[in-house]
Amino acid sequence: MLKVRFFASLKDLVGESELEMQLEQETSVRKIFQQLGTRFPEIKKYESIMLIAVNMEYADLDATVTPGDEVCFFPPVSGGAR
Amino acid sequence: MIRIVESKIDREEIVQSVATPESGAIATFDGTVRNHAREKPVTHLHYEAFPEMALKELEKIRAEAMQRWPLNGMAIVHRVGRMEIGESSVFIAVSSAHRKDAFEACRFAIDTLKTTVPIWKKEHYQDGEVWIEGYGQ
Repeated sequence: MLKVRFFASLKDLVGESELEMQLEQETSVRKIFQQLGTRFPEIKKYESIMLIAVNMEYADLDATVTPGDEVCFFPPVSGGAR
Repeated sequence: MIRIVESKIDREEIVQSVATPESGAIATFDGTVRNHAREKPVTHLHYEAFPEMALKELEKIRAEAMQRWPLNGMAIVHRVGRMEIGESSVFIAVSSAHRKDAFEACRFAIDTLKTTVPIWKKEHYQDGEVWIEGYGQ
């Protein structure tokens, strides 16, 4: 299993803050995101700007995930003019 | 002191947490809720965090700052949930022997926080609400 969490606008798009996906063997975050994209097409527009965390460390689409990991997808953080 | 809180930020408690007899300066940054944005009146804000990771990232900021500048203490407290105009959403206090280091480290902390700490802001207006995400939006 793989735990997937969403925050802020991505959470709103998906309609839930977390879900579990079947995962039997090692794969990439990209593959996970592609699977999510077929279920929630709206999130695809975030592909180039979203931030990714695997087990609470920043990662990218090429990162490896293994069963038991937690993958989080979220928009860029709040920023604000300096 | 590194905290994510839901209740009102206690500025004095945070300042006291970094005070030491060796310090000749305490620099603070107080991020407050502004009543306008994008040329629209803002009624209130809502902050959401990924709390476990936000705490980790805040700890990293403090560790890096303590290494780069000769500081005596750094405290960062971010509030989440609903906040009214004028209330503090984030408060940072930095102590050092001399003011230059405290100012620089305080600036570093807030600038880094805004790009690495997973906390998001939703602006509420009379006629709706919008997530504010990343620089320049």
